[in-house]
Amino acid sequence: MDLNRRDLLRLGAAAAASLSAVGCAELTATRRADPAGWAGKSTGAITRIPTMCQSCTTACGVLATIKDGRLLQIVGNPEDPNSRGSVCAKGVAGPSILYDPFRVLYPLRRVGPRGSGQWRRITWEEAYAEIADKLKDIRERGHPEEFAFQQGRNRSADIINRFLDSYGTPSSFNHRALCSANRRAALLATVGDSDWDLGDYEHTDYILNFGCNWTEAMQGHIPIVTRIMQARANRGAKIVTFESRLSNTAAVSDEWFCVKPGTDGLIALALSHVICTEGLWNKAWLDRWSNYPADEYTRHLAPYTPELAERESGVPADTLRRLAREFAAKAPRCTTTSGRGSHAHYNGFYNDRAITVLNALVGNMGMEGGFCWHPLSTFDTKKQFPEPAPVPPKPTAKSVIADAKQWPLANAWNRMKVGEIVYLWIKERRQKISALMTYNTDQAWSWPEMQLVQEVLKDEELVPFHFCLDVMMSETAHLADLVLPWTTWLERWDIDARPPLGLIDYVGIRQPVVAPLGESKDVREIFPELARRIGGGMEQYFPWASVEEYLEQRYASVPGGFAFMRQHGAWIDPAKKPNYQPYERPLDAEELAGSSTDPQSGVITKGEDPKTKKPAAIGIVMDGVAVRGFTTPSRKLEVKSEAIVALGRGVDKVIEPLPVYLPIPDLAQGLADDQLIMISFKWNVHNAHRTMQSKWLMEIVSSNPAWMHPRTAKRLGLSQGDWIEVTGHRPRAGDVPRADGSPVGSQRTRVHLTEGVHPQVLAFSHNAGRWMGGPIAAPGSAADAWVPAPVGDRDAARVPWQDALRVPQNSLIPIYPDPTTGQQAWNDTVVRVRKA
Amino acid sequence: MSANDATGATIDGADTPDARAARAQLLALCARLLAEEVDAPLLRALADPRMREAMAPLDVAFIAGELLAQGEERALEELAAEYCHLFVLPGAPCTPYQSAFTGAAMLGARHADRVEEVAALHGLAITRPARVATSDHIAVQLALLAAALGRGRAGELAVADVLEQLLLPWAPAYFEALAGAARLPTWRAVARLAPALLHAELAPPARASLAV
Ligand code: SF4
Repeated sequence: MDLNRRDLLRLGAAAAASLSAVGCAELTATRRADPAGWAGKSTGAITRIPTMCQSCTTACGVLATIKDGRLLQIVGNPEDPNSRGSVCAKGVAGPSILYDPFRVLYPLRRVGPRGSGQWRRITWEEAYAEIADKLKDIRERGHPEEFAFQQGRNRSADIINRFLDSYGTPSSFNHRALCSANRRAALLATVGDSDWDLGDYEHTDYILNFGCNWTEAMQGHIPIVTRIMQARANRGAKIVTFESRLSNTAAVSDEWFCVKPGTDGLIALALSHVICTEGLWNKAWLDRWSNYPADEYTRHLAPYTPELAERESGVPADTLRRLAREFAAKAPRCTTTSGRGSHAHYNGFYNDRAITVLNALVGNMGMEGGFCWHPLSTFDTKKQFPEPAPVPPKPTAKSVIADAKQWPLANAWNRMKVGEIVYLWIKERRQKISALMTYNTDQAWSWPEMQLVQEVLKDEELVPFHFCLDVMMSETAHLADLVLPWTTWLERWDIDARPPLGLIDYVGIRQPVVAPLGESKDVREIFPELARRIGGGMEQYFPWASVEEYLEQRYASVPGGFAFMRQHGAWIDPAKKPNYQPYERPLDAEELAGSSTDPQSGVITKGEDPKTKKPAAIGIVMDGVAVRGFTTPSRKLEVKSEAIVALGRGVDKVIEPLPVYLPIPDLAQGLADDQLIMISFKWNVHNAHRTMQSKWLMEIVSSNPAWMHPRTAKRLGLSQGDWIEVTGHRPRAGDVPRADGSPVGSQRTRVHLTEGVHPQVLAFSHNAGRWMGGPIAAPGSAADAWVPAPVGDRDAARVPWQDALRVPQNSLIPIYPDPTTGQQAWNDTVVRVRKA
Repeated sequence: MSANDATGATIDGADTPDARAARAQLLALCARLLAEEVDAPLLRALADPRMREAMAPLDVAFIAGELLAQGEERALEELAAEYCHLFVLPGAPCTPYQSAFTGAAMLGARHADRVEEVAALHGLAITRPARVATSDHIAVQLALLAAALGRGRAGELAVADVLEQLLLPWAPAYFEALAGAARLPTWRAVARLAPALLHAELAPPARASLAV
């Protein structure tokens, strides 16, 4: 096909006419540069802007190196009192997340059937108008609860709660039950003050670690691991890990015991048994602070012998005796850590109760180098940094799903809810949903029984309108009607802080280090705009003209205010002291004024508890002195909790008042030769769906083969690298939905043989198996791969991406809540394995 | 006359002011079509019988008759969906950024820097449309070539640099991918026209290497 000179001129003229057509959008244009714009100008000045990482939920302080408006590098911010200048690979990879070539940068509207992948780009104006119309209609119909908000990690709770409360919806679904509900409930039931233990790791001499992978994951990852490593270097602290897999934490421990999943609580009870029977306890402390007599607890522990623990867990009885003696000998400078290895089980609440009480036995509670906590899990939102007025009231409408009354401890202390049942209950039509907003989560990939979540999200009758705010085209965004481009943590504002490992609360700032890429926006901009458009009084709760103005008000109590925060990234009050032994603090005259004391229990009350409407306890009289005590009903450390028994009774459930070992009913039925217990784990370079967008991180880990013990492989006739088919099953017994042993789903993958896993276990990393988000997030050769490697990507040949195994583990895992708290039992799935 | 084996299309590469200007206009049109969605005025201009006739020698039209028959609103929707599929979605087959298309870990980065350096070197300033995130966008690079070409002989060095340093390392593969992925003729036409236009600007030795 030739275009001769005449044709060319004719086509050129037609092109010129097209380009000059009235209303044509501005052409990508060039103009002659103004030479003065270049000569004599200095370019390339480097600035370092402090902010807070959110590649995981630890919120380490970081410094962003910026040149010419572009982020070059992330390093730790030494002024952050929690992370103290350290940062992990996920934080360092910030630039690759900000500049992810496959980010969603513009609002998108679905133009084909839901899930068909057909979209068109729209403007924010169009998106706002559509969302506001729908939400306004739901609200004006008088059913605000029909607007559901599904969040994952949320470090902008102030603005999000303000929006949801002002709208009036209680249907705010979080992922706490998929994360740490058992650990939190165990602490709240026992200690009361806090839902997050913070061992005084830096000053400890001995750590018993129950399935907590703090070198790689865990809320508090960097602040914890740096302190533990310092204790090891400076004090020779010993670390002992019980874990079903050789995690990197197990690897850096002095001793690792490869335990059968779900037996951590029994190990803690057996250690307690030794401590009590051998009199290694701190009896004086127990007599003063335990609400249950030490001798009676010893009798309670009688069946939990080291021999029983050996039979169940695999840890030799003699070793358990030795470890109990070592632990007690180091008291009070000893502590435990526990994570999903101990609590993401059907019996996880009891496991962590037993672990918490183990600490109390040796009297390390709140002691320097011991098992500590802080009442604030973030900055002081009440007194020091209060919400600017006007603050909307809490919704009066009810959400059956958020209330999840079947699980009596889910919402007993704070609103943990039962995340894994949300889509099952929507499917069962227990609550009508007219609009769903997904925020920073990928429930279609990261929820158990993800097929069910996908089915519900696809169903336009069950979820008539779904809009999703995320930085990427996640598996969930794929099932939305509108996808809104979200800012990364490097482009947005937050007032933030996390449980302080230094035991003194602080406040930090997340601030944009570069302008948002594309048209990405944050909820701090989106929600006020939606509130104005929805109207009906909502708008009054967003009176400030800008986010900066709002933050100026919030940081008013910091010396130097907002400007100081922007410059330094964090502030800690130098007058505050670490939260050691808070229960021993005497109450002052002001606190005692107008109080009354129960003569029998010594509990001091004053005023009314706004939640229970009963007299509010403020302390306890101990040996004639009014002290703060623990913030439990008895104001003592509750080895025995009548409160949880009563909560259970309210819904016809039996909850044991004392720590017990509850054998997992499904596992108690035994395992056939081809059955294994599937567990899940995280690599140090990944966190949920978001890090899988980073090429830097995916170059390090992009595959998730099945870890299997060589003995097990031999039994099943498998060799290294063999293909297997894994089928996940619902439990065969227990107080869980659909406990019928039916299959959930099957996946094909290869085995990785290693002695670093329990012989009854099949272990998968949770950090692979996505199929959306572009060729970085979804590499591999699986048949359903829908995106090719980028053309000309030379790295594709250098790293083994094309052979990456992509197992979406949640297609195998059933919805499996702990019957007390509703925490998902991630590590109890029985799978069948066969050679494929 | 220059031959372009990749697309089969050839465009007069004559070094006369009117031919250069015509090629510059065509490059600018390609840039516009790659920069963002087709809007109503552009749709009308592309569907104009004069444009249709002018494109006839290339055996392709920008707008198919069936598309127009659906009415303007529907046609614009379809064009927007196609644009999104080709260029906007994560993992789109023709992601328009050189960095993304060639598998870089980060959008823009050294590729965008290089575009800005070449532009600055030749006294060209880049005006990016609002919905172009970084300067390594194919539309920016084509527009730079159009601007350089529009300077006549004075722009020869700029043309050579834009071609050799920016476009040639990736644009041929890019337009091949576009030719394969485009479902509507609008971007099939661009995939045919643009490489022929690049080819027309090459000096004979480089032209030979592109043809291989
Ligand atoms: S631990 Fe979490 S918050 Fe800290 S640097 Fe790593 S990813 Fe960021």
